[in-house]
Amino acid sequence: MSDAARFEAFVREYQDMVFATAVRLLGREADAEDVAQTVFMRAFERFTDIGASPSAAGWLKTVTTNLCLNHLSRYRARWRFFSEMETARDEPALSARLALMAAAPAELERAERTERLERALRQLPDHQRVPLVLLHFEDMSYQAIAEALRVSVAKVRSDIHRGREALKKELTITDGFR
Amino acid sequence: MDSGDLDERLDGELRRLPRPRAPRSLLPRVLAATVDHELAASATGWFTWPLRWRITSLTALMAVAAAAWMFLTAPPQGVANAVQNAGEIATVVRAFWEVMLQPVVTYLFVLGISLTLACALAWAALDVALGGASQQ
Repeated sequence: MSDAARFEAFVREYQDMVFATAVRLLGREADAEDVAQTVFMRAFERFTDIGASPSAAGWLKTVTTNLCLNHLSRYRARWRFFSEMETARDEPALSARLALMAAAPAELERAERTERLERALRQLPDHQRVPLVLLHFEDMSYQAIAEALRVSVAKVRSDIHRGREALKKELTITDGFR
Repeated sequence: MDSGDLDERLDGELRRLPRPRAPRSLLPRVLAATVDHELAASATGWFTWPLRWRITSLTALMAVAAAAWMFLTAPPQGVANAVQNAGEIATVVRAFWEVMLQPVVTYLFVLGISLTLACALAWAALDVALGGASQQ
């Protein structure tokens, strides 16, 4: 197998993992795709070292997380502006939602609930979403998150608590429609 | 539902969230970027050289230019003598060519061709006369 074919197989294997980490940390698919591309270009430059390494997944996750945090600190103000615009745009029409819920069997209901939770997660403010994602999806400790974000552990706990409260509210709203 | 139940449920829902899938455009984007990267890496223009190599090459070029300038403006005595001798030899050779060889070179050429043809004909006649015995 040529190097190009090996690298293509490598990207195919890890693209979902890298993109999932990026999109949950950044909240926007376009930014996540940009970051994922940058991550894979870094991997390409060091492909002889990490191509067949058993720690490739860990390396990719670490690089993805670091690039996302850099991206957020660099583009925070701009991100918030566009994020607020998208929040309004992405909200499905109430009538469409009610129609779906009325006709939906359990499977559709679950899919709807999952989608709403994912969307609610992505729409949390950066300072709540990022530590929450690092805790729940990247299995980082409070201490490690505090170090990565350069804030106190108390702030991390407080932000995660607030984020979870917002998500719980989303869950109860979803229940209200059932 | 109390707060503890809701916490538990949220944890469960978050655990069950499916992993977002990468868009189809990601793989082609990455592969195209690697091609661009390799093209850029294989570029051999002077400006793409590492800084250390550029400084070294520039210094070497300046040294060669300085040496050439010094050589042209004040050549060493030995070199000057050699150049003068080479010029004298060239003059003698040119005179010999113009006086001795050039007037007869055309005739010598025609004579050479004629002798070659005569030899070939004589060889062929001998071959016929002897019935091909010369090739056995």
